[in-house]
Amino acid sequence: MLRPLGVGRSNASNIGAQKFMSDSFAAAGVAQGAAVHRYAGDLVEETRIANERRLAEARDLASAVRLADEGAAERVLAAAEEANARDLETAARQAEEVVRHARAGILAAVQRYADGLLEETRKANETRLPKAKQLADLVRLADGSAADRLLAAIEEANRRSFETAQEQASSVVELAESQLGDGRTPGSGSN
Amino acid sequence: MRSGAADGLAAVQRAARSFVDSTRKASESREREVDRVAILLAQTDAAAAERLRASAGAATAEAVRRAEEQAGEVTRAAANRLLLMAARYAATLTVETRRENDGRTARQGELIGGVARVDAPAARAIEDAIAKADAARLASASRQGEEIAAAANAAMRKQAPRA
Repeated sequence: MLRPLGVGRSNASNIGAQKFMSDSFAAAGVAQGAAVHRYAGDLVEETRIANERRLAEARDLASAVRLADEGAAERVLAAAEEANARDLETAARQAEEVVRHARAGILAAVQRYADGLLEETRKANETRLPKAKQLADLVRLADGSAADRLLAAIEEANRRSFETAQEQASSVVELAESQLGDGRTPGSGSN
Repeated sequence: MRSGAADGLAAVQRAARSFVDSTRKASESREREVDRVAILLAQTDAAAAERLRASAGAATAEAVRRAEEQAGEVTRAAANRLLLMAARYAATLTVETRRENDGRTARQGELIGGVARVDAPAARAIEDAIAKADAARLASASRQGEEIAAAANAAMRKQAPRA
């Protein structure tokens, strides 16, 4: 289970730090996604290169075998070409599956992180409220209207803090979604 | 190495044809000499001259037949060496593919580790996808190897000298 970064900190003093951490978390997810995309692209490209090398070998072999048996040479070439097509299809499927699973996993983690941000803010607000009320009761002894203003200010601060957390949470998810792309393997869309 | 073996077979084929041709020419030349003797012999014994001609003709035919047989055996042996090479190549395909799969293990381990840090089920799904693809590549190499080996073996049986 992912532990949201920054849990246990006072969010009143750490809005900037939270934003930095939420950006860092999304950036780490996006970097992981980029690594997965690179791996998928390389896998398909390496398969193409290996196929070309094997086909050249098979052509060499077939040209030699042709001197002994024309039909056997044709079968050698056909076997190599069919194997290459199978290997390319396997690589493309593997790349697509790896990208899809990684994207889903990273987005799920980012979503859990965003949910954690909101939960953390809500809990921090709840924790502060009884203390704020105690403080207001003390102030009320001296000035009733000042106590009401104090409480209203605290509630407004809590509300703003929760809104900020909501904005951060949705921006983290949006950033991750936009940066991770549509889950397709690089270069596979036009093929 | 492969083109060297192919060149070798081409050279053997040329030499075998040349051997048969030169045997035929030498035999025909001897037959012509025998014919000249037979012409002289016919003046005194026509039947003996005919027997001489027939014997020379049979000797020519036998010499050419034996030359063709030897040429065929040598050519088939060379061709079989090539086909054996093809069968050996087929056997290396699976080994090569296993090595290529293993070569990706370290990078894939890093990738899976990275994803596992944020989402374990996704990492397991990626691991499964990789294992499935590795198995498919091995099966494909094995199938290609079998097809090439079968083609080479069938060709070798065709090349085998008849008893």
